[in-house]
Amino acid sequence: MPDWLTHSLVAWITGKPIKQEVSLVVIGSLIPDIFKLHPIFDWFVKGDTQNFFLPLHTPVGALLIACVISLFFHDIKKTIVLLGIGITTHVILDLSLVNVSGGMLMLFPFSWDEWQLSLIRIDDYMITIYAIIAAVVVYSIYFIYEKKKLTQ
Amino acid sequence: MKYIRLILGLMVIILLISLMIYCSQEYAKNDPHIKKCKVLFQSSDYYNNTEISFSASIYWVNKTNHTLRVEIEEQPYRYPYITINTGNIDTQNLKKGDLIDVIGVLNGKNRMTATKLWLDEPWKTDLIYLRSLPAVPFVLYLFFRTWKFNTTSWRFERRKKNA
Repeated sequence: MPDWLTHSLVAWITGKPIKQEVSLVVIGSLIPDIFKLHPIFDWFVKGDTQNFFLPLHTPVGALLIACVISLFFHDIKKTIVLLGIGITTHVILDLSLVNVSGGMLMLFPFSWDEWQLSLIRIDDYMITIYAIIAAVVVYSIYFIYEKKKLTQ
Repeated sequence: MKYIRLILGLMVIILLISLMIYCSQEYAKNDPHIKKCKVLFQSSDYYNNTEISFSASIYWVNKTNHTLRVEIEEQPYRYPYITINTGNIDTQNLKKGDLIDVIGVLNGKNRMTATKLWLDEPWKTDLIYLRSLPAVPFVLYLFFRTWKFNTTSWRFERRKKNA
């Protein structure tokens, strides 16, 4: 799992062209990692809830969460699409990880096969640095572009 | 029509909880990684030269013979101790009790040759959580800058300056 900062920055870069809705893309990028909060529930139930929360870290489970969130917005379809874009950035980033104990359950609940591209180590902090640099570059480009638009 | 969102929401939540229950009941039986490890170690002669990967803790290190003896960390499952030939991989910084991630090929009963090996350093894992912290205020700022919650309609509405 790349950290939340990497996930949110990559989603922000992806969603920036959509401008105001970028916040929903960023929220979407963190939905699959709701699964990572399972230790809190472990503590409450005094047991292991990892397998119970695992579907949230699959495309189907994350999209169902996106559906629930979208019910709190006026435009349900648009919200699902934007959250879905965020979920997609998360899935692509997580797919690129090296995980010796298996990858992502991409086709759950239809298949238990685990998928991974084995490109980046889970604890590799360089990906965060690259994401920060890319976000700064994108922000600078938009900042200069907006400034030019105002002066014209 | 008034309660259509509520009904939809309940249906989606029921579907999600059903998937979660299904996964909690079936994952241990169907986890392809655990299945593969079980099969490979039970019939290792048959699966010679098959690639295998796992996390393990080091039981002992023999730096002169370039071998490690490890215990696979896949709780609550128990596997035999595995002897790993590390070949040209640098093992100078490895010691008993270290956690490692290994990719390699089986070559005999409970024996394998590592092709890639990484030392799991706890500080690097802690750093993942530390790096995640700045994302919380970033995401909250980004979201509530654009949206506000209307407690009467139970909907998020766009803030006026962003309308």
